[in-house]
Amino acid sequence: MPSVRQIARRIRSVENTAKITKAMSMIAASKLRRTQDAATRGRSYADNMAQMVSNVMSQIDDESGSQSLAEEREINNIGLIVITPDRGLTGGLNSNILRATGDFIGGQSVPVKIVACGKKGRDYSRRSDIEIIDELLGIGDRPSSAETQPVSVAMMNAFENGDVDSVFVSYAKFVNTTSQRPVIDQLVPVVPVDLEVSNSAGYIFEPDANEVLSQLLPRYFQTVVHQAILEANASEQSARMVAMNQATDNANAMVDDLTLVMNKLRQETITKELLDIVGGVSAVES
Amino acid sequence: MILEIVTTEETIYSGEADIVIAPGVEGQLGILPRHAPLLTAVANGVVVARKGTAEETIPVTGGFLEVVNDKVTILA
Repeated sequence: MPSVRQIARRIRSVENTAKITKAMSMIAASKLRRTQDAATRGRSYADNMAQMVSNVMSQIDDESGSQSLAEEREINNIGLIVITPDRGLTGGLNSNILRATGDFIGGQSVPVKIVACGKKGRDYSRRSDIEIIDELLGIGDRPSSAETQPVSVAMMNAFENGDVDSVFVSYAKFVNTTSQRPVIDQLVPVVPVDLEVSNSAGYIFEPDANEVLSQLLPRYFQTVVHQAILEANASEQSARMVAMNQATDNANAMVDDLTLVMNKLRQETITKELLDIVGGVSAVES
Repeated sequence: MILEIVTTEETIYSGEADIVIAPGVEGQLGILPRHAPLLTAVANGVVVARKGTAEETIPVTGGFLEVVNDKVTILA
């Protein structure tokens, strides 16, 4: 049975923890606004780009063979870009992403090679002995496209060198503040997205289809990766905000419980002492 | 004809236009309503959108221009 003083110390320590988690949740909330903004605003660019690429790809299947990024070859190795937070304390987010990633890797019959963006994904790949092509850590909350470029460049190089024959990207899509969905999208070979099917009238290309595609596809690749990183950032902040809010609530509930126990204990001690005194007095008087 | 200019950060222009003049890699392009589907890379330069007598100029630094269904999309 702990003493009153021990419980008082415990209460102080829990209160301090609550202060920290509250501060973390407030920081995450303010970062969330910025990252969420960036993610939602980036979507229109990414969607337009995807639409454009699928329009073009639906039209020039015979010519696309000369485009390395659209090339379909026998799949001997799979490349996976794993986008995770650098830090923990995000509730179930990290383990959800990594579980989805692990399931994906487990379901493949060929080796998977990883480009890790974020420390958690890197550590995971190391733990499970998966080949890491490249890693990029410490990306800020609102990275510019130049800052995220090394990720896509590393993977594009691997694809062009034949180290991997298809590329997927794994990240947590930001749905809303309380919900982030781990998703794995195929990036290469480019799959035409089933957005609205626009008129199949022939495109005019300037200068020509191959020239345009050879610029468009790398740009598309980078855009998808960049957007995935923005989404992942927003997911991280919202997951952390919710997790830290919950932690603060739990800590406060714990303080209440402990205070109750402490008061009961104190009352008990006083009652016991009173009884002792009363008992002592009556013993002397009799 | 609708013109939309989108950057990675935001949509910087969206509206009606009678003519769009853009700096294509092969030279200036003037796009009128009901233009055939077109896809081209865009060089550095200025996009001019004219609507009646009003004129808007938007600088762009490279990107892609697509014309589909009477809609011009520039991904800068």
